[in-house]
Amino acid sequence: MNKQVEVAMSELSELLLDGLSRGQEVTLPVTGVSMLPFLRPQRDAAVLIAADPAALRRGDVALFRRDNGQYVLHRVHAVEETPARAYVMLGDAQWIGERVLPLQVLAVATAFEVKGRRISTESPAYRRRVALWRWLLPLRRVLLVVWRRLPK
Amino acid sequence: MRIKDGFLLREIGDRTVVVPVGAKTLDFRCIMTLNESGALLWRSLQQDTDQSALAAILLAEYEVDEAKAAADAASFVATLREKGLLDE
Repeated sequence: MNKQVEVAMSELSELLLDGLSRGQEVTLPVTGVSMLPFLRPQRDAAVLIAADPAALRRGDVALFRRDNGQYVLHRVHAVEETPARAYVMLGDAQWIGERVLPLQVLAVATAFEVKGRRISTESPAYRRRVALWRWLLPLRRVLLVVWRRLPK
Repeated sequence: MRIKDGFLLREIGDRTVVVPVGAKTLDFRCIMTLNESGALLWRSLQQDTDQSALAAILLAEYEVDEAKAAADAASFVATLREKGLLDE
């Protein structure tokens, strides 16, 4: 009778934007595999707050909206040093970036829940892992293939 | 029994979503969506009521027999109880 349905993000976006604009923290379950090996769908979640869209830093994970209305949670790979201050967003499991303008940015992650444990994005250990993963970008394709074959 | 305070029903598209109000965190893993009959029962439970009254509501509003109405009301109440949403 009371069906609990998987609700598409787009349907709940009203709720999401509302929460963010009221200053609420929003916890979103991770869907999709583009943030592996950091975030795994079904298991992990991202804790988001409204962000100053012009103030993202390299390494931040941000929620943005594509022109087609899709919501995406990816990492800032680079910040363009131009007046537009666009971002190159790149999922941790991707190697081809996507240019995103500040006006598309909705929120930034302050923490993750990984395997049930909360990891702050300010944690030095986390920041080191992010920096290392960025530095390994030329090898990312190969590393992901290897990583997927590792026993979990 | 009644629904605990601190929740709001919101219509989104053709669904009704139960949203915790005032919570510091809006956790999308815990958001419950209700269908039409679920929303009806939820609204009834905003005042003190009991399971047989809920079954009576389903019986009055839908084309179901008494057994089905009772079973549906029981399963709805069980779900709410399991999620800790009821004051009893």
